[in-house]
Amino acid sequence: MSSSINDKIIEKTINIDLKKMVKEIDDLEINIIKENKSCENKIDNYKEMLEQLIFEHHNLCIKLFNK
Amino acid sequence: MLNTKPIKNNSNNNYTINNSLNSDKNIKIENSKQKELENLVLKTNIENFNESNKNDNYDSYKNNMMAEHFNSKINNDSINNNLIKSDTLLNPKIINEFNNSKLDNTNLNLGNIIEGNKYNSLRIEDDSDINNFKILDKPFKMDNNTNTNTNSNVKWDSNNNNYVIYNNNNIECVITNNDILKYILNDDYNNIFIKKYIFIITLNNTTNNNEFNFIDSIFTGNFDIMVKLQNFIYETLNNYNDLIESDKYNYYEIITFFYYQLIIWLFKNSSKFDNINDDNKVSKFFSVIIFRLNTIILKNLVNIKKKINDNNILLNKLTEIKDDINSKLNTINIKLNNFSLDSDNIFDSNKQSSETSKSSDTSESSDSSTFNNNITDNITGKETDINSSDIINKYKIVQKNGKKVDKIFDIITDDSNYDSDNNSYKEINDTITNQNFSNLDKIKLLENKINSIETTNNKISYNPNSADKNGKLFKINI
Repeated sequence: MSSSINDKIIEKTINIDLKKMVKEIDDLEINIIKENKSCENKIDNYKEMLEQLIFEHHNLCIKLFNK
Repeated sequence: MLNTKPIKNNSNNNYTINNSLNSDKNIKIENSKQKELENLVLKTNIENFNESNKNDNYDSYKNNMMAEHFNSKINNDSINNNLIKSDTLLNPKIINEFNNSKLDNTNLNLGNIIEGNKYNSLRIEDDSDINNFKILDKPFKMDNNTNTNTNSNVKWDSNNNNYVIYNNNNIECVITNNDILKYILNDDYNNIFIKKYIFIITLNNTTNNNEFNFIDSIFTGNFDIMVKLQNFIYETLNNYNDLIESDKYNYYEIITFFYYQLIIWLFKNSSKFDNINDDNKVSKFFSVIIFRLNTIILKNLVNIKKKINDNNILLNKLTEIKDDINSKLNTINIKLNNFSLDSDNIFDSNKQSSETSKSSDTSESSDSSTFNNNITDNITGKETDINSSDIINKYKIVQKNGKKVDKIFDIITDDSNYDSDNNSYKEINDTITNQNFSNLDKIKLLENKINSIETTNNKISYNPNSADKNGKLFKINI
């Protein structure tokens, strides 16, 4: 393999930049994963809300039918 | 509670006993057993009311009413009372309604007390037989506290779009929907009337989250007002997409959560609205709000699912990019490792040459060290394609006889047939990027064989950036 000094220096610089970029991507990935986790928690909350709502509605229906 | 069979009224209401001894006296008596029974029923019902809810203002209202009627009957002030008929009071249906409604409505509060008159009217309207139960065309006396509460009311001002709470026919406060929304979104927002009449925000220690707790009041006990509030919250959620993006942060979820808690509270306190005459109205209302909340929740779920999918796609793309970058990094690292090996060779050979030249010429050794320094100083160098002719043109090198120098060997000799290959000299016309360190080694060998060339003002450099900084790489002695 052959390369000039200049190339090597540039490559070193690129190397550093790429490492920074990889780190930024890693951070971004972590944030996205956290956001997904938060979304999943929200889905669970909404499911509980729906269940509670159905339960209350059911009770009210029984009450109205018995009226 | 007494279950009495209807007893026929005697058409003769009064008996007049004519006594020869007291002929001038007309003695009025109750119409015998019928009246006694009526009084007995009244007394019993009054006792039942007192036992079941002594502190209930609503019952107090009823008790006083019954007692007043009872007294009026006992005193026989007006047997033909136009306001209250005995049939009405004895009607088991009415008494049942009173007791049942009282028992059902365990959350009797100020709002219901105020709604008491309305309550009676609504119930009475159901049955024409008891129309006469609208007994009081004169104000009913109540204790001071209750009286104050009785005169409280809440109304929707459609002109100004706000809720107006009246106390003693005076406006106690005005609450706008925006006030409510502000308090929902910011518990630091201090509106004492919202806290007094609608809801408070408290911290749930188990979940460590804030919760909305509704308050029993004339506001929350008013069906129409709660419908208005519910409509406003729903419209806010429905039109939330029209808001500015920066305003959306977390607010949508808080409002949704409030809407959910409002609806759950309405369900749990649906008995508050039993006094609404139209059952269909209530059932329709609950059907609508459950539909609305379901719609909102499902819409949110779809959005969240979509967001998760988008995030997963983005994650995949990021992973691909990262893999690509890693492969490039590996390539570069391999190159750099090879470079370090090559550069070690260069430095070693350069060191050898400098040691050799040091013994013969001190100036040459200094130039060699300059070369070494230039290698390390080239960190900020730019990638540039350059060949020897460019360098010569740049530094305007001329031959000793005044001719323009086109190639390096022109500097060395005037012979046009000079063969540089035979002289261990190689013209470097390739770009720097195409050079390898073996070429540099050759130059250095040549450099060691020939005397250094003294260029007049300019120094030759294979790295133009380095040359700009240092002016020279080395000298070639002819």
